[in-house]
Amino acid sequence: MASKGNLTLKSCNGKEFIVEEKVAVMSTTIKNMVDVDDSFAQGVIPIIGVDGKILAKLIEYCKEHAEADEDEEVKSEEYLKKFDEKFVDELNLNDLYDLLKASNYLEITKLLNLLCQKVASMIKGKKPEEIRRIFNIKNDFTPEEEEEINRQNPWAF
Amino acid sequence: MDNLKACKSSNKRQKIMMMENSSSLSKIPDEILIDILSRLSMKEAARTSLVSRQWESLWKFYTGSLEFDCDPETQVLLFNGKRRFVTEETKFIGWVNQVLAALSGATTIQKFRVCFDLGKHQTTTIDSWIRYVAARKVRKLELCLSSMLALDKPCILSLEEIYNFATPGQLMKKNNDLGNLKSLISLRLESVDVTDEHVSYFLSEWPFLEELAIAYSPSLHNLKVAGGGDQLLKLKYLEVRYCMGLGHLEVTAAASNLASFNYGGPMINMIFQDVPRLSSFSLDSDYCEDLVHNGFKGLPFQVSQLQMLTLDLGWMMCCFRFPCLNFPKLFTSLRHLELVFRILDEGTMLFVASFLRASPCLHKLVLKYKIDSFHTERMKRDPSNLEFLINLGGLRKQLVKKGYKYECLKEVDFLGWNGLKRDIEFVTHLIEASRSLERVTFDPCDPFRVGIMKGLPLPPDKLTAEDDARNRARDLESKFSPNTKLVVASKCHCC
Repeated sequence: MASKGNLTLKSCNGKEFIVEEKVAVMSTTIKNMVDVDDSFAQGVIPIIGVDGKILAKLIEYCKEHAEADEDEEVKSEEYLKKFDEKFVDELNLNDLYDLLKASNYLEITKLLNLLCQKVASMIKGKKPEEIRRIFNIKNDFTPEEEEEINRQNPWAF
Repeated sequence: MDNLKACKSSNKRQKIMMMENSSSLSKIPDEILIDILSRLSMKEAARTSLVSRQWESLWKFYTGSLEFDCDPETQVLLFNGKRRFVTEETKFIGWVNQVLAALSGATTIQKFRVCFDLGKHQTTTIDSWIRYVAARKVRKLELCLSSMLALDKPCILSLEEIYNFATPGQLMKKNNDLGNLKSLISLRLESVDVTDEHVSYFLSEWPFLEELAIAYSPSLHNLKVAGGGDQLLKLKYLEVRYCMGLGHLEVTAAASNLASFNYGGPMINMIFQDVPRLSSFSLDSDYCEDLVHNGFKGLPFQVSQLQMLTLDLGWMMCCFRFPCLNFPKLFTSLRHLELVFRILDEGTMLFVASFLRASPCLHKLVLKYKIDSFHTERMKRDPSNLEFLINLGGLRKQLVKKGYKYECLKEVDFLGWNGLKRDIEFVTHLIEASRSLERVTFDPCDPFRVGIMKGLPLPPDKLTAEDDARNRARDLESKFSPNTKLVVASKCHCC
C-alpha cells in the first residue's frame, strides 16, 4: 500500500512499483484514471500490456522529467537533453518498440515524441534496403511493383 | 552433407528471427509509424514507400512538411538559358499536383512551401494548392514565387519581370471560405503581391499567427500591425524585406508579444507602440547607415531592450569616414551581435571595436564578410578611401590605451574569413582586449553563397584560396590563451 502522495503501479507480469504521484501523472492515461476514480489513488493501478522491465524504464524517464519540471535549477535543459540522448541510445530494437507502444498507450507525450524522433533519425538518409535491414522488415514487393513505385515518384529516388 | 544441414538450420533460425522481429514492428500502431514518417523530409518519407507494402500505404498519410523547391541544377540551367522555362514550369506544377494527389490519406499538413517562378497566369493552380492545404489545416505556409530573386543580383531581371508576381486569389480574397487557414501559425510570402488590406485581414482573421514574413511585395504602402478590435496578437516574429513601395510601418500595442523584428529595404517611417518583449532586431538597408550615424537615436523602440542584434552595414565601414564610432554604452542587454559588412582588402576591421565597447554584456559576436569583387575595384579607384586608410596606422594601440575591454565576450565567429592583414590586426586586438574568450571559429566559406550559387561547385582557385585562409587561421593558435578553443571549419557547409 502506497503512502500518501505515492501511487502503486503493477506491470502485466506482476511487478509492483511505488512511485510519487507527480511522476506517475506524467502519463495522461494514469492522470485521468486517478482524477476520475479516487480508489486508484489508494490501491494498485494495473498497467496492462507493459512488463516490469519496460515499466521500470518508463518510470526512470518520468522521474527525471517530473523533477526537472518542478525545479529548473536542479536539472537544466542541457542536463535533460543529455539524459534523453543517453536514454534512447541505450535501447535495443525490441525495447524501443515496446517503449513506443507503452508510451503511446500511457500517453506520455514527451517520451513518445523522443522515441519517434529516434526512429526517424534511424531512417534518415537511408536507402530502402538499409531501412529493411535495420528494422528487419521483409521486402514483399515484386520487382515489377518496385519499378512502378520508382516510376511514380522519380523525384524521391 | 553436414554443410547442407548447417546451412538449412541457420536458414531456419534466420527465418524465426525474422518472424519475431517483423511481428515486433507490426505491433506498433500505424498512427505511430505515420508520426515517425512525418518527422522526415517529404523526399525521405516518400522513399520509404519502397520498404514494404505496409510502408507504401503509410506514405499516403504523411503529415509533415511539403516543400517544393526548384532543384539547384535546374535553376542554374534555367538561369543560363540552357533549359526552357515553360518546360520546367510544367514539370514543377506536375510534381506538386502528383504529390498532393498521392497524399490521399493526410488529414493535416505541417508545412506547405512552394519556391518557383510562378507568374500571374498560374493563379488558378496556386489557388487549387492553397484550397487543398487549407482543407488539411496547414500550419505553415510559404510561397516564394520568384526564386531568381534569391540571387544577389536581381538587376538582371527587368523591372517588369520582377513585378510579374502571382496573386494567389484564394489566400487574398476577403470573406473567402478558407476558415481552415485559421490554423496557420506561420505565413511567409515572397514575391507575392500582398497589399495593406491583405495584411490586416491575415492578422485579424487568423488568430494563431505567430510568424509573418513579407518580401518583395510592390503593393505594400502603409503597413499596420494591429488585431481586430481589442484582440491581442500572438505574433512573435515579423519580417518585412524589400517592399519598395512601403512608406510607413506601425506596430500597435496589440502586438505586445512581438519578440523579433527583421527589416530590410528603403527608409520608412516606423512607429512602435509598447513592445516590451521585443528582444531581437535585424536591419538590412540604407537605414543602417542613418541609424549608426545618429548613434541609434532613430530607433522606434528602446535599444537597451535588445538581446540580439543583426546589422548589415553594407559599404559603410569601407569608406571609413568613421573608423571609431564612439557610441556610448548603448546596448546594455545585448548578448548576441551579428555584423554583416563589405570591406576592402586594405581596410581595417577595428570599427567592430566601437560596437563591442557599446555592448558590455556581449557573449557572442558573429562577423560576416560580404565578398563583392566588382564593387571592391570601384571603391579602390576612389583615392580618398585609400588615403584615409593609410592614416589609420597605430589605431589598434590607441584602442587599448583608451581602455577597450570586453569582459563577457566568449564566442567569436568569422564567416567568410580571409586572414588578410586587416583580419589579423583585429584578432590581435581581440586577444589584447578580451580575456574571457572561449571559442573562436574561422570559416573561409562565403556566407552569402545562397540561391542557385549554392548548387555550383567552387572553382579550383577559390578552393586553394580557402585552404590558404584556413592555414592563416591555424597560424594564430599560439597567440591565443590556452583557454580559448580555436575552430577552423574544415569543409564548406554548402558543398
